[in-house]
Amino acid sequence: MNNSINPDQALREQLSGSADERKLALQQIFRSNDLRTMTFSYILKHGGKEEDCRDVFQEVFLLFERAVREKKFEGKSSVSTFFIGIVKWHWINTLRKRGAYTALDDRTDFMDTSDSVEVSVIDEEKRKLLHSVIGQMNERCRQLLRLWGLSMSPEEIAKEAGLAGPDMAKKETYRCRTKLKEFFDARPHLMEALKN
Amino acid sequence: MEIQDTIDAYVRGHLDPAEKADFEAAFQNDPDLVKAVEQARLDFNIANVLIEDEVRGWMQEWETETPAPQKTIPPARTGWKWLGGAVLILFVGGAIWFINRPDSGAGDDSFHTPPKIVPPTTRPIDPNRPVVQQETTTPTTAPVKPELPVTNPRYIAKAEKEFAAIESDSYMRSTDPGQPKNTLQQAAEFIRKKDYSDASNLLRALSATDPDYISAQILLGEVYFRQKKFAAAEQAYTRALRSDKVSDDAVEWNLLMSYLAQYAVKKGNFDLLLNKIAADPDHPDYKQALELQKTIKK
Repeated sequence: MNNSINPDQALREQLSGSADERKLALQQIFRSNDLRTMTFSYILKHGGKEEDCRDVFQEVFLLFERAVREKKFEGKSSVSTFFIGIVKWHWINTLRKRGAYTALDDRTDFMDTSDSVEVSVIDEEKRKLLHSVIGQMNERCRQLLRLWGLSMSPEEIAKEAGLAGPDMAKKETYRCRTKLKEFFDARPHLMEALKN
Repeated sequence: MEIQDTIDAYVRGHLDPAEKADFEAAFQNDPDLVKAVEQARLDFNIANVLIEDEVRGWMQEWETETPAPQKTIPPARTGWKWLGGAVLILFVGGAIWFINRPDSGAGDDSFHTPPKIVPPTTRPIDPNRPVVQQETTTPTTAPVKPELPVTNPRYIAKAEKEFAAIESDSYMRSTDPGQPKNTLQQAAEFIRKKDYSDASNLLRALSATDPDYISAQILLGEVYFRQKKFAAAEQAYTRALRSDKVSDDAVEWNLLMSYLAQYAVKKGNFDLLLNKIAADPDHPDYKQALELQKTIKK
């Protein structure tokens, strides 16, 4: 029986591992020449220009990272199949926005991955508003909220943020979230704009 | 599990279907719970934007270290082109075989056999022929120039001196005190305070479809330049120049300075752009370009 872990499985484990492991795994994926070549080829073959390739690769990389974090990638397909699935899905959406998408049968292209590649995207207007909120937060709260967003346990947050222990991590995170709540309570119009 | 943990798990999509159904049934009639869920969604979205900003920062670092794919797969050929190619190869191959085929010895065949052509490579070499020197692209006698270090302090100092800083005030003037500052305004304020890390986090978050993307790239170029990340500055300015929404003149000078700071590896790009600006009397940086040409020659 073969007990060896295949590279894909190891990569998936790293992606959901510690902060350092996650960063290393992401770096490995970002620097994969195969993924870049496949992405660039797909874009060039489907009406894209050279200058689209790098932007699409970077946008897809972000979507991939989020999909992994949100457990949408369950390992039913390989990392590269899943990544290219997102490339196709994202490119079709880009062409649609540009009014340049016509071939509906291409949609079946990204169905060769068993994991769902449709990733939720925060639209630009909301992103801008969220950034204006982030601009009001101090660096400590940004760090804690980011670690909380990564689904880290209070123990892990304490370790990453250099806090005394999990209780302190929980308390500090709660304090930051309470400040955010107060910020929004004072600006109901902002809350409404972000909600819709 | 505390109620906040349940709310968070719900927002993250971590509840199983039964738990999710129970929770949704509970909050239908509880306005406070609905509000708490909305707030948790916002927290989660803010966390997502923060995580994305961090990943974008890593990408910028990795991008400068990662070479572009050496070769992309060419567009698929049509079947007819492939077929045509195959027929041509068969025809040429057949012709070569026909010309060079070994003599079968059959009497009738010799009648059809054309005079045997000796391929040029098999011809005996005339010992008296003049010897022609093969042209090479890299003459071995040429002295090898020592490679300048990428970070040549002289060029960096010059580039930093000549760099045209943005007028952050111009971004701030349009601020309406009653409105939250937009990303560009916030970034310009961070640049003014020399808080380049926060400025870069904000600017990198704008995607290529954002109407402020090009302005963000110009500001990002400045941020990177100030941080001495010259290759990243060059990339940001290049992205800005790809757009037809910005005047090339406004960006070219700082792109030139980014090249100058990396002179040892970007000399070709630097010379090309400097010559372009110096050849255009209408360019706003024409006189500076002429001055720079003189300085560089010294």
